[in-house]
Amino acid sequence: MHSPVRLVVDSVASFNVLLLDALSGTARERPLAFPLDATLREHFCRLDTADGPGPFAFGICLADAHFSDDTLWTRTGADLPEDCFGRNARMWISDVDRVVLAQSLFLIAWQSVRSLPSLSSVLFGMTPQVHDQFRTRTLADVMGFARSRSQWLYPRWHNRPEVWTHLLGAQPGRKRRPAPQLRLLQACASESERLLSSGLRVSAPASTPPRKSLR
Amino acid sequence: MRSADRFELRRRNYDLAQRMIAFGARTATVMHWTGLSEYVVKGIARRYVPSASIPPRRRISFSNRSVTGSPRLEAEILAFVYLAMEVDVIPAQMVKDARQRLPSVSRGERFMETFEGYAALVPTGQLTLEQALALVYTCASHRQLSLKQCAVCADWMLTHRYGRNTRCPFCRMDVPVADGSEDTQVQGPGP
Repeated sequence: MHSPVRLVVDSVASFNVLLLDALSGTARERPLAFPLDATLREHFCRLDTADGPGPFAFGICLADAHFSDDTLWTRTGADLPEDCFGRNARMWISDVDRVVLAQSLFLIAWQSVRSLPSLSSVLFGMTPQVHDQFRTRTLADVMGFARSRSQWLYPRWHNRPEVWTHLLGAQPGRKRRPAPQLRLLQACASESERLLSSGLRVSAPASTPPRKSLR
Repeated sequence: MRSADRFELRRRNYDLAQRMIAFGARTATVMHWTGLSEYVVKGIARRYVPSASIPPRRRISFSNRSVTGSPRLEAEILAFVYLAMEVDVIPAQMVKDARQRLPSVSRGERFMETFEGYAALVPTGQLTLEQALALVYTCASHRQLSLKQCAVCADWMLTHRYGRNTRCPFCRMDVPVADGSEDTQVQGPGP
């Protein structure tokens, strides 16, 4: 029997394949609407996920729906903004596909905050307030979110082409290279207030030599 | 303590022991975190986790070599420490004598959730449970390791406190070092 951790991670990996497929389709058919850096378009044109997740089985969610924006998630009804990622941001995918992707994402997120509350902030980049929004809502509410907030769906780290380059350049044969999952976790760690406000972050310059070497 | 609470605590101890043994924890480590006797821990291992890998006999402590050994391990260490911080396995405040003060059933459960999550997220990971525990103690006592910002991608990296790495493991792998004068480690003070 699979553990809850494995179930959630596998679900997120399956969703990521859907997202990569959607991005790949946009790169091939509508290059002008491609939402990521233009240098990545060629990578996405060559992307083939037909055989399942394979090397792209990332347990960290590659899509963002403003999970780190508390104030946006507390708004309701007519108060909801449309294109939060800028003008024409919603054009990268058709309306129907966007709602399907949003339903999948929100359903997995809803399941994740119930079965694996401690790690959902890591997997989706959620703040505690957004986490609570999902935890206290019913499945019907979450499906409603998918209709009313599907326009928020956008690739995560859309302004960080180096993260995507590393993911797409994943070659299983290269053993010395750190796994692409580790690159995602590094990107997540760099946004973690908890980690950065801990005592591990030193204010001294990076190259402060040890006392021993000063002798 | 009521008998129901005692029973519940005992059940959690057994459950934690079983999860730790399944990931190759040493008997002494399981005893330290659960408070169970050696006899009981070995009994659980024989009865419930016969397929568990044979744990190392000696106690593993964190060493400088761990962060300077390979870019891959360095990236793994950051990933695990990040997860452990998010789940509050590693407290934000410094803990003196972490090896004695940190072990508890609730923290052990969170640790196992973190380690299981890490193993699921990084299926090719090489970090063992004993190394992960040694990392928790090291980071909680704020010795040896510190967060620094990569000079190329501006992401954060976890490296030796007195190390001279200016680039994260990913940027080091992408761009070769020109003359070898940079991105080499100095040996810092021991633990």
